[in-house]
Amino acid sequence: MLLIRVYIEIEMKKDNKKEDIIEIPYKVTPAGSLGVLALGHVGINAWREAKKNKQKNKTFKK
Amino acid sequence: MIIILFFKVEMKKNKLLLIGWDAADWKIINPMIKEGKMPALKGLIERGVCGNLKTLDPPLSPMLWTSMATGVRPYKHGIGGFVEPRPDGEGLRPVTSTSRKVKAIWNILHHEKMKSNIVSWWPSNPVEPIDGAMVSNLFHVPNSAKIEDWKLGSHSVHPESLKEDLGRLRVHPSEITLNMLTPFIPNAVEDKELRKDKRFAGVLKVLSNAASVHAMSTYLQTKTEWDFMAVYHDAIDHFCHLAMKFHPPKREHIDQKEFDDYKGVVESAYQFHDMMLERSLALIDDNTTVMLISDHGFHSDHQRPLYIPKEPSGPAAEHSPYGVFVMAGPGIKNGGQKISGASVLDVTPTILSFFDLPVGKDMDGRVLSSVYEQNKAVSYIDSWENLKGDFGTHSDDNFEDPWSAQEALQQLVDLGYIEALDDKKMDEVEKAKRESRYYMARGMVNAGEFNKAIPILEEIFDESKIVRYGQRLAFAYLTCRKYLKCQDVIKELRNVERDSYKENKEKSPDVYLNKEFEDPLYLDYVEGLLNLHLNRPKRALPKLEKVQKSSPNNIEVILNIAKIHNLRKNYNVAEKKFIHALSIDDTDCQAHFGLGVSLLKQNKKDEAIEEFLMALEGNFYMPNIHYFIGEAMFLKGMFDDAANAFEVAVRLSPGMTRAHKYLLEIYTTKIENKAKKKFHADFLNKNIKGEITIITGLIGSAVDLFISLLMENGIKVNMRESVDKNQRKYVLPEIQNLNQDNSFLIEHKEISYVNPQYLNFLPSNYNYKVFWIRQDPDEVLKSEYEFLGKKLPNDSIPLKQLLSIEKNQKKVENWIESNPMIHLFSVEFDELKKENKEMALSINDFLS
Repeated sequence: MLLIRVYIEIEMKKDNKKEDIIEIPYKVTPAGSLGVLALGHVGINAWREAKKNKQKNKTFKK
Repeated sequence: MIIILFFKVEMKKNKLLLIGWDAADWKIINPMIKEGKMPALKGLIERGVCGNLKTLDPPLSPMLWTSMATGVRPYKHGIGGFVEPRPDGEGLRPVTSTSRKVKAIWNILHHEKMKSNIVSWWPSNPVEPIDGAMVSNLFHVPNSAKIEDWKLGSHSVHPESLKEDLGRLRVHPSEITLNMLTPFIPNAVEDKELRKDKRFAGVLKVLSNAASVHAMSTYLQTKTEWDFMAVYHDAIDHFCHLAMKFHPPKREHIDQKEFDDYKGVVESAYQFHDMMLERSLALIDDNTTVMLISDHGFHSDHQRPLYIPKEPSGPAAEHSPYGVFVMAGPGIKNGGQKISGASVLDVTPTILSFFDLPVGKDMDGRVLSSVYEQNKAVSYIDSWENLKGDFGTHSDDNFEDPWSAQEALQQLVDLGYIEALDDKKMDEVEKAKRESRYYMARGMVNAGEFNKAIPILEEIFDESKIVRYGQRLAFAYLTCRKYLKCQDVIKELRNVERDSYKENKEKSPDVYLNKEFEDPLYLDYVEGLLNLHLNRPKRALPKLEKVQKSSPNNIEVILNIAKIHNLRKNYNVAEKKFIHALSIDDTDCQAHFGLGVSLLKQNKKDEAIEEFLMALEGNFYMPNIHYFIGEAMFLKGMFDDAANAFEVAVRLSPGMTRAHKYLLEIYTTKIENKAKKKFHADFLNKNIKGEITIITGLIGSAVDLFISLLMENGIKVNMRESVDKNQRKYVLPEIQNLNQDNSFLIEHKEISYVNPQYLNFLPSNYNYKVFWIRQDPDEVLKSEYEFLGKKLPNDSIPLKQLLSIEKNQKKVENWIESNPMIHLFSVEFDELKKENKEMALSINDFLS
């Protein structure tokens, strides 16, 4: 039984993607910021979305 | 019933994330960390190790980043600069990955079934078909003014399936907003005119490039499986070339408004990189090791050059010799421990060891074993180049030597198959080819491969008479002890310099604005060093002092001046000079070492040891530092510590006789250790039997004059009496046929004269002090005739005799070159004819 439990735990870690875990609200405006650029591809996408939709406040998963 | 079940437990493999920050420098980073402006990097350092990463010469990025990715020097990997000829003969193009002649780390990992993501490495266009992903260094460079027209380049992303997604993540300069630029150029918000400045446009472009690279890398980090990931950022280097001149403190010649506008660019660049680092670190797990490196530093203080040389790659004058190295992860030491002696060549060997893969013996770098908590066994193979199999490289069809392709093209023109290439383009290609060969030759000099470098430098200097090629050639000759050739090149360069100065002065009143020299007084510097090598400190010092006056922050010049003072036993003056050098760069290893020597010679033992330990921090692997620590400890009566230091010295330099001598002394009279005593005694008996002092040079008036000088000062020389045809008695130096019996030299304690033709028959296993007497062949011939009571004919020169004299002179030079361990004292006939008090003092110093 112990072996099975260990295997399952390891499997779970393997599936975890850090990107999906934490949710922090982050304001992205069409004017953008260095912080948005520093977030990488999610920041770029959110900023372009904000520019597109001209939304003032948008939350996204970080 | 008991059932035993077995489950396969998959162990998580360790992964490695390599981040490259071109030109990142500790001199900017350290104060920013102290001020809390780079928290991500601070955290990484605290979790791992850090240190300097020594660059190569020339410090040109595509050459360096390829050395980092392959573990070999540029003349082995084949990337020789920024450009190469286009295959169609239409001029030049940026250097490509197909010019690389050896496998990179990602090729090796591909062969070993590991996945790699490589983002923007320089050069990586066209991309290679590795297991994983590769985005070329050209993919994020905009090829249009508008984002909608921005094409996806061919061969710039592997696999092709990722091209569209990654293409959408590129940031065009036109998208960058004022909000994003404010930290860099705060005045741009109010000042609309400032936004028209080309530097403003430059900041915008570099920022967009950095954002593109980062976006693509975070995408690949999270969306793909990988074992190794390498991301290269060129932004810090580009920001610094743009704006380091405006970085505080303000320099006198910088305009106040420009300073106010751009003084924040460099710091903001580093802060932005820290923010990107924070994000990259947030996307990895605890099993991932991180390595952060830079290829060179960037002068940011009083060492910033006042002008950029007007030559290809001139901006490299702003680069400094040390980049950064940080590594953190499982199995790596932590607490920010310092590692020393690392160079850019060590990156690939260290990565190979991380993945428990063998290191190629043909690699020039080594594994940085000191990063690991536990001793890590390192395995080796002869070469990864010898292994067959799939390495994810370009097919052989893609590989072509662009220079050879250019030659082949020209052949087709010569044969009439194709039209002749445009003259201007051909000229461009020829210049670029010569420049690339120049960089390769510099790389060989940097590696100590002078025999390889000299023919190349000779050829390109001969073809073009470009001053900096000649300067390097002079320096290479000097280092190889080809002193006559060095002198000849210096003479030739002086003529070129004279003409060039005149031409430039006519163009512009300020000569330094329009220069092709590497340094205004480089020739004086080389000439000064030449005199130093020839043991003529009196001639060397004024030359070097002249250079120092003009380049007060040139630390190399100050160090050489200080060394002269040490040589002349002016230890007090030497101490001041070394302290001055340290005021320019307090991390300079040579300055700490030299200061330590001058302090030790003044009996300031404790202070000397402190300086030697500082020098070790910069380079642990210098045997001389350990030797002098040993000497200091010995003088303090700390014989155990002395023995330890000397043992390290002989481990690093097994032939270091003086260290062996000290160890023999210690194990004989101070510390009981019969085995070690025997070991060092055996070494000395086998290898070095004593010291012999000789005079050599062509027999003539100069040698006579020198011997007279020695004898006047009570120094004994082996002489014998003889009688000439007029029955007059005279003495001359004892000359033996050493090819038959060289024991004469061992038996006699006095200084002996050795004819150049017998130099190769000198007994081995002896240290030599050599007085080399130099005289013009014409003068030698004249004095030979005078000795025989004859007169030199006016109307015809006995050419055969003259050539024979020149040949013998060459023998001395060749012998000196091939015996680097001799102590040399060179004397010119002209100096002997003048007042000799100074000479006599120098001779006594040399003999003592």
